[in-house]
Amino acid sequence: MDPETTAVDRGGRPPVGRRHAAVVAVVVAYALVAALTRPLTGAALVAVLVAGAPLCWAGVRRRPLRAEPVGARSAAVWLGVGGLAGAFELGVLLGPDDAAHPTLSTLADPALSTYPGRVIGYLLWVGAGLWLVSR
Amino acid sequence: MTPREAIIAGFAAILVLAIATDLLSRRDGSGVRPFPATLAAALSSRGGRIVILGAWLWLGWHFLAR
Repeated sequence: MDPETTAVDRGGRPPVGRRHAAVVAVVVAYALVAALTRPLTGAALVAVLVAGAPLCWAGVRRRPLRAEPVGARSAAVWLGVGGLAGAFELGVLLGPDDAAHPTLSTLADPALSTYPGRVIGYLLWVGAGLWLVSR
Repeated sequence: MTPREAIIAGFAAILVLAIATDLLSRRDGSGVRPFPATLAAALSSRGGRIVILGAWLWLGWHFLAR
């Protein structure tokens, strides 16, 4: 007898492989539909919130996995890299608002203005969100 | 070099710095943990989860919806 079928028949949760496949299918379907929305529209905002709000809610409510402490040095190094990136982006953002001084999102606009680019963008974003929530 | 080229070079340099830091942190004896391990540690507290998931939601809005 198929062990996967047996597990479901016993009333337990579907096997991990089947659950992962279902999650991947849902994420791909979501990205394909969400990418149909155009940036700067209410539909695009709804598309982000449809996935973002439940994932944030689940991630905050979920009991975190036990993670090995990383120490102050690691925290300082990665906060430094993140702070540098944030300060650079902020500096560009507060500078002249023209094509000669593009922010990171302005640079990403050509890719995200195409349907395939937006599908990839949504896949990466939701994939990152699922990873964060699962920690 | 135009201001635009300088800004693009700046973003590229920060990306290279982040990748290099992560690769170096994976070497034996490194005192720094890789980025995913550091992020996972930050996510182990309620406050860390709120901040990081909030940043993730903002990134989605900023790049995909705004």
